[in-house]
Amino acid sequence: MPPSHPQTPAEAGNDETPDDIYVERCQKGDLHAFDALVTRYRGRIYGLLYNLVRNESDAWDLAQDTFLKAWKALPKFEARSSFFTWIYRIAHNVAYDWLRARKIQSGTEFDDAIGLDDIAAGATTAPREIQSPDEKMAAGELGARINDALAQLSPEHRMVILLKEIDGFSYQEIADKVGCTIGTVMSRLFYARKKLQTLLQDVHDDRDA
Amino acid sequence: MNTPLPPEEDDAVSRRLGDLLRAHVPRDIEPPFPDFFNSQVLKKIRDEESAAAAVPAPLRWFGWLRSPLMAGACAAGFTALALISFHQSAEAGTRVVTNYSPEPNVTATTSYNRAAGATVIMLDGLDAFPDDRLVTAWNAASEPALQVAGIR
Repeated sequence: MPPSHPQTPAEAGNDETPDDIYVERCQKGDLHAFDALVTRYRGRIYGLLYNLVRNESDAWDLAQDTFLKAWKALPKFEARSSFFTWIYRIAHNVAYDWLRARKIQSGTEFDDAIGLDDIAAGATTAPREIQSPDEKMAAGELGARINDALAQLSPEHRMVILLKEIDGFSYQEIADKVGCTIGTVMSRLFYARKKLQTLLQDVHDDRDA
Repeated sequence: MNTPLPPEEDDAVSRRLGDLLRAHVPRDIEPPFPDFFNSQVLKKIRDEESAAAAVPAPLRWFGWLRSPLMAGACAAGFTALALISFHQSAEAGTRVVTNYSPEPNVTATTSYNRAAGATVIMLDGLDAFPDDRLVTAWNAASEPALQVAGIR
């Protein structure tokens, strides 16, 4: 998990100009106004993308793409939703496109039918970013444990569980966004939960104790 | 571990997991080098806009072709051409490009007979054909007086 860079006061909250004022200026071609919107939302967008792709470099590039696409689409933005909702949706789409391209490159379709026996720490997982379990255990940070567990999910499973638990989307909304059936969403959610429960078994046990 | 839990217990575990995720997965993470992040976004925008502005003039010139006015004018032009063409083919029957007679005392005129649906070529100044001569076709090249050129 990358460290959270503290925002300067000016970045964090002193700028109280409403989004729609900035949006209006952007639609007239004002790049300074867009710069302010990037500053305001880059943390949320990068955070979303980092949580989905679990790679700083990819998340950085995808966040850049998101803002670039937003700038190009801004002339058509009609403020039916908030600017943040709108750009958040763009970021999701950018992430799904990335995921699809990645799947095509790898030439394999993700197999949902992973037997429960396979769901064990270190099995059928994405590359881990934290060096060793010992170091991680020594750190003893629950947040780090959870994020490390998420990093071990496949991108498809991670995306579904984050959309459900963090963003609060319904099964249907997730199916629409990801481009699969509700059954597939439920299946991925089931396996993602099982995998996380396995990886975080001791956390659950400690909390239960 | 893999023993199925009762549904209510399974729901409770899922809820706890959801709570854990919501509590510990950060939703706001500043990208590394945030100022550089902004500058790169703006640079890419400027680069793309300069590239779009640098599109060769002829390509941009064609932009006016897409205007509604131009589309209307083109449609009207094509309609007029089609009507003229239809009118010519319907009215003229055989298309006579030009009338020419090598004999100065012979003149050729053409007209379209709507009732007969035929194009008639009138040759004035020719010697009369004998009544017993049946003309169904002729070789214009063999009879200079009949060389009415340009008939297609």
